[in-house]
Amino acid sequence: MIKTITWIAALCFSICANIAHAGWDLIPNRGVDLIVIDPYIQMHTGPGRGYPVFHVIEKGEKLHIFVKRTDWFKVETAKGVKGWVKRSSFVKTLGLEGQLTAFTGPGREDYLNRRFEFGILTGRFDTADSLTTYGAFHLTQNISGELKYTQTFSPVANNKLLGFNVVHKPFPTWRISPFFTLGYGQISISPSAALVQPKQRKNWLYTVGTGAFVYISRRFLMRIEYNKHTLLTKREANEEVEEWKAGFSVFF
Amino acid sequence: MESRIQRIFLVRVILAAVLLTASSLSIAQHDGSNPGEKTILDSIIEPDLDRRKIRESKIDSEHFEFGFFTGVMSVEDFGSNNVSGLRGAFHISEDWFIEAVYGATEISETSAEALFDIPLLEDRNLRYYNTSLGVNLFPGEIFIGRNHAFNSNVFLILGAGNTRFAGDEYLTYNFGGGFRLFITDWMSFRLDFRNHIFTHTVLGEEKSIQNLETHFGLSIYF
Repeated sequence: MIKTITWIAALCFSICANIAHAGWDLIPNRGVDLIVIDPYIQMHTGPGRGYPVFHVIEKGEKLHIFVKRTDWFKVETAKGVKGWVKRSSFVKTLGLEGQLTAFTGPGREDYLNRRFEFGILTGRFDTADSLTTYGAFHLTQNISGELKYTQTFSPVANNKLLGFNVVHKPFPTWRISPFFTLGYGQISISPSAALVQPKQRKNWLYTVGTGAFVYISRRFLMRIEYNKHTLLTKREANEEVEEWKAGFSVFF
Repeated sequence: MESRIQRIFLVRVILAAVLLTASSLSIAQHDGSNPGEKTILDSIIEPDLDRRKIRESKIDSEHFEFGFFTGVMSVEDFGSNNVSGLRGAFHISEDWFIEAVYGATEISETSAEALFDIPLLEDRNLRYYNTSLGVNLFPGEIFIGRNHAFNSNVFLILGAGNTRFAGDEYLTYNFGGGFRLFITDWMSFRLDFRNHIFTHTVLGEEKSIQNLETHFGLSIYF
């Protein structure tokens, strides 16, 4: 076992060393060229505020941006110095033909016009613990569609729930923005293996819910939600289950 | 008689429609004629400047991380075993990232099983997935030799997920930390330490177990 791992480690290390030595760039000729108008721009050795400043780009110098990671851009000056520059440093930088730069970071505007959203929520599904992951696509500021996968855990039974929901936000611009949701999906209920005669069953269900989005900052938002699921059974009465959950999401 | 009345009405409706369309058209024409005529004065006051903006979308972004890993996972009572899996992450800011991991291992026999030769479990596969929130704490640089410097960081991570173990599924919390070494801008080497905590009843009584995992892996950024 240890031998195998050592072998894989050695292999990975040699591949990495080769790649690092060759300095491969996957997409070599993409990016933008700019002229610095600010008095100076500081260049860091890495994409983070903790990395030291090792070079200063002067006013009037040309530079090429080829990669960005979160709020940092990797740039190369005309003299061939490579380093990382924070997004906020590019306030007055212009394009080669005098075009303005639109390097505004993710903010409230992006939150309002978000297209994709991904989030994780935990909470209570009836008396069980629940864990939900979801992905959403926003059609307009008010309406979005969501695919949700919930797993619930209790000593008696574990459930898996896959559903599609339509979400309506009547006041998307509010910082705490309420929403209403309507959904349809399937729940698969598997009683614990420790119980006698565990028999898995599947039910269709529909869901109504309400909750709120709270925009925190940058790409983060919080989400609190209450759902009422109605399981369509073959018995005389349908089952109703209440669910509370809270979590956070990111958008991009 | 009836058809005559109908015809009169029809004629009136058509007339009204034609009149309405004509009037709205004339309004539209009237409106449209003004901005087209640009005087010399206008062009001096408003020079025809090209206010194009350079968009960020032209720059290659590396917010997503995808990678594989392999290592050792110790499952309490069931020995230490090889583990391997896949991960995907999204880097939200220079400090925060979210990560989803899927891993698989095969558990070995408990000491009781080995001693008395009674197999306790049929299904000896353990599979887990989790989603976690991570924070990059200590950025740094690693120097190798005279000419190479690689960026690195140390992160902490906390999350929840599911573990499929002994034919049942359990809500699992995980926490840990790790080390990331950037070999190039788009590739990193990772070393992770995690603790997966869940409660099971496989051995009779309810038992909360801690399962330590350490693995190393490679990730690419795109």
